[in-house]
Amino acid sequence: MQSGLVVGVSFLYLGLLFAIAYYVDKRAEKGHSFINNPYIYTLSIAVYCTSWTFYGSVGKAAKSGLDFLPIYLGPTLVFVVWSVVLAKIIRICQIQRITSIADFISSRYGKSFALGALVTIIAVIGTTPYISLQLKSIATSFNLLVGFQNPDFLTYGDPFGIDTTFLVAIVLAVFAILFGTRHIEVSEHHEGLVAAIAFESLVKLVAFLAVGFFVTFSVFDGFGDLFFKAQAHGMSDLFVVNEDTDYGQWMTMTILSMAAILFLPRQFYITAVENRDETQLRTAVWLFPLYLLVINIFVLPIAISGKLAFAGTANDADMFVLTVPMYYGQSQLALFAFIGGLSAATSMVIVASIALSTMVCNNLVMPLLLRWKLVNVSEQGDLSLLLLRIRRASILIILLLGYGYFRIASESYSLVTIGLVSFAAAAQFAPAALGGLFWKGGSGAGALTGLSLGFLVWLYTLLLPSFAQSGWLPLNFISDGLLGIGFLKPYALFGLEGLDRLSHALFWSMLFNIGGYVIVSLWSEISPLERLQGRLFVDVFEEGQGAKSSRVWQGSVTISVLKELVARFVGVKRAEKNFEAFAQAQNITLNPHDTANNDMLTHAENLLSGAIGSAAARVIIGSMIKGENISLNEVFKILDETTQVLEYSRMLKVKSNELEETSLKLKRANTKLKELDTLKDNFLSTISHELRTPLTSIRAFSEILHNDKSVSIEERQNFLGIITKESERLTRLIDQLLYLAKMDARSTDLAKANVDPVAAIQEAVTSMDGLIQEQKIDLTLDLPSSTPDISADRDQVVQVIINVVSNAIKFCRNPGGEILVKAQATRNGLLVCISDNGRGIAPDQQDLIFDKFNQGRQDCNEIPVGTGLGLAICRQIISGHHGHIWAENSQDSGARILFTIPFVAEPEVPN
Amino acid sequence: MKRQGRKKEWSVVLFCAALLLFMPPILPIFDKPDLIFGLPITFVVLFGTWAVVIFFVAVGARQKKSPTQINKDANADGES
Repeated sequence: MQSGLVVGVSFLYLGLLFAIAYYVDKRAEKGHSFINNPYIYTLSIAVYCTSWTFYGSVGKAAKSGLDFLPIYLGPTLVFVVWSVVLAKIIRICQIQRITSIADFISSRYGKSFALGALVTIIAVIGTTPYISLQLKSIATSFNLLVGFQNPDFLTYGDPFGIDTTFLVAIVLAVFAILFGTRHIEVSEHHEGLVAAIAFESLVKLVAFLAVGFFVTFSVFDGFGDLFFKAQAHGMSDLFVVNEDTDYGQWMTMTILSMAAILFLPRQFYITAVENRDETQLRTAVWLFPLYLLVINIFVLPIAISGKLAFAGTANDADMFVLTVPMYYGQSQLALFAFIGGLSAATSMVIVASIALSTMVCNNLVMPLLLRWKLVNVSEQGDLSLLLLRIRRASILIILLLGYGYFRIASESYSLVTIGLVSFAAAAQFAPAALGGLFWKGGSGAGALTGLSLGFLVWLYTLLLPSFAQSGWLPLNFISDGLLGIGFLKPYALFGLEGLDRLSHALFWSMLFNIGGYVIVSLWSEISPLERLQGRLFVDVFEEGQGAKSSRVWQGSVTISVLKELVARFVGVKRAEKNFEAFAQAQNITLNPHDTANNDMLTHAENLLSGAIGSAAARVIIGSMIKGENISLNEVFKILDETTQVLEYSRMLKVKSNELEETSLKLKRANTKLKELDTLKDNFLSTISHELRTPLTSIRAFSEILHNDKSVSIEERQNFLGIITKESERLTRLIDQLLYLAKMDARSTDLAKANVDPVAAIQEAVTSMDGLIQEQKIDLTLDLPSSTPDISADRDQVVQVIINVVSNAIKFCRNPGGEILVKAQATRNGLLVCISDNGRGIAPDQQDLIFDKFNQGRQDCNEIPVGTGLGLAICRQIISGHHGHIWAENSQDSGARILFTIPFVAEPEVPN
Repeated sequence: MKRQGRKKEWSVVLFCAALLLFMPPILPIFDKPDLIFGLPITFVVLFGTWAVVIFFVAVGARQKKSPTQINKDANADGES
């Protein structure tokens, strides 16, 4: 095929791309967004499919069958859990105005310059092999197309007198510069770029499917025929993933591709930074995996047909997409396939170089210039041109680095092998980025350590060996290890053998990366800004977090100065427009001479973040307001708001619990009071009855004696006896009342001495002999022959026994009453048990009978038998002796009153 | 906006299920060099599972349309 034709078509295609981008940009400036729909967003994400997919997958499938699939299954798996990871990343990027993966990680860990710079360096070095892969595929496919079956033409010829690959690199650099760095965007949204990338994704899909359809349905008679012939030619080993092996590489590639779809700089850029509407993600999460599925259906058929067509000849399987149509004489289809491959490669190179140049400018060069005071932000002059120049230079350098790697290492490797080296580099971002999304405890120092260690291991186990294999480093570096130390062999580090190179590298780099990140994070102090950013990242979906500003500025900068500053980075018009929009949204009028308030400064920082990254924006605003920037107290104030709310709600909870408890206590006390009140009422009626009865009879008999002179002397004697008896009863009642009142007032007023309890009991019972015999009661004493003494007030103890026994007399069966007084020594002191054979005590009354004024077994129509004070007095006395008194029912019948009084303590031996 | 519903939990379940199917020891069960309906078994199972997973993701990612719809969806989430 004519080289002029191929070059012409290529440039026509690139020109078309540029026209699309230009048209969309122009429309966007007029306010008609062309790309604001989920399908274009999905197609732009498909920048994931590069020449690796277009050419490399077929090459891999021709060698080892379905082994190429994990690169597409991994992203599908990530998109399955989009709501957990992807949606969070996108929300954070929008709120924090993140411009790249470096910005993301740096911003998460306190807008750290060092982290941003490190991520940038890793990204640039890690992406270099990937870019070289694209350059290689373009150059190879071009040379193949031009020189196919042309013996004069060498595979890597130079039709222009210079290296084709170098030319491709320069053309792509110019193209990327034209696309991505025409002006500085406030929001870092490149509508034209996204539209062009989406178009490229469409082209490569259609081109690949065209080749696939041709092979499957024109060369062969459908899938069945194709696979049948493959089986007949002994190629059924291509039908499987990896039979008879351990699937180690399959798993490694799945993990790598999962990390890659999130953290490859270009994927992060196109998926998260260029996203302008979160709801578009809802379509992309299924449509993008579907795109991957469709583009992969024909990989195996093309590989098989290539192997059948070129059986026995040494044809590069990586180029089957191109060579198979040519083999069957379809030069137009081959040209279309070439354009498809070109679109796959250019889209990757353009997006990757723009994303990387943004990182280099925002996270490496600008912070350094600001730090070294090479750029003075307070001087006049348009800085946006400086930014653009830095970015343009970076794009050129990145492309040249890719070309350099191609010259050094690429020629000896297949496309997939080169690409996987880059994937492994992108995977190094996963611990710091994912950790930062879900773990507030991750620290900047931890991320820095993990990234550095992981990157060094990656360098040592994947990148340097590829240099060695190309002869740029001595080969014995691989075979013998660094300085001949076998322990340090790059493909068998620390003696680990038996894994494939990729799994080996991934294992060690992740071990050091994650280990370093976690351990140092736990070890190190977390600065206030880190903590604040961590909270804003991890809790981005929490209520109210989204709107909260992460910065607190205090300072005395006028609005006009601030506007000038922003204008110098983003252009006067854009700055003017943005400030007006801000004023409108806030419903204020901007007076240029007013001092900018915190909202205004935060808004300005946001604008700058969109253009030059968060770390640099912080430095610039910080330097503007001269040392008055973020104060620790202010940060803590924001932090404390949340903490305080939590604390308050916790305290409220405690208080309400306390209140509940108190109200419960009050309720109980109230019930008790009510009971007491009832008891008191009952008692008053009892006591008035008790007082009235003797009083009435005294009065009645006194009146008879006073009025009736005819009463006989015997009768007089009799009446006076009654009066005396009733008076005694009254006295006794009043005595008991007084006694109880006294006990209440001074319960400790006891004349304690060593008392022989047996003697006391006998004395008490003897004093009641008269009453017992009068009632014809059978009283039995069951006393031990001797017990230790008790420390007690003898009279009081006798009183207790008298009270209890007289109580028993009142309540025991009549006639035929039996009372048993029993005493015995126990561990708790002397136990006295007085049981009767009466009706017993109702269980709910057993505690109450010791209350004052409570009379046991009261029925409404029953006349009260006592004062209701006897047992209350007993309890008072017993508790004064540190004893215990209680009531229970005996098993057969009747009630028992039991009490204990401790024995005299063993005399202490003086020292 | 606060996220709600159980879609997150379901998506994690789907993730685990897909991971299980695409990984050993399940993968080697059908990873055999034989044809079924004229197509390699591995090819059919891998692409088939893949398509089913995509279908479920699409179902789970449907847009909630209006506030009244949200309740219905939330209920559907629980049942699906």
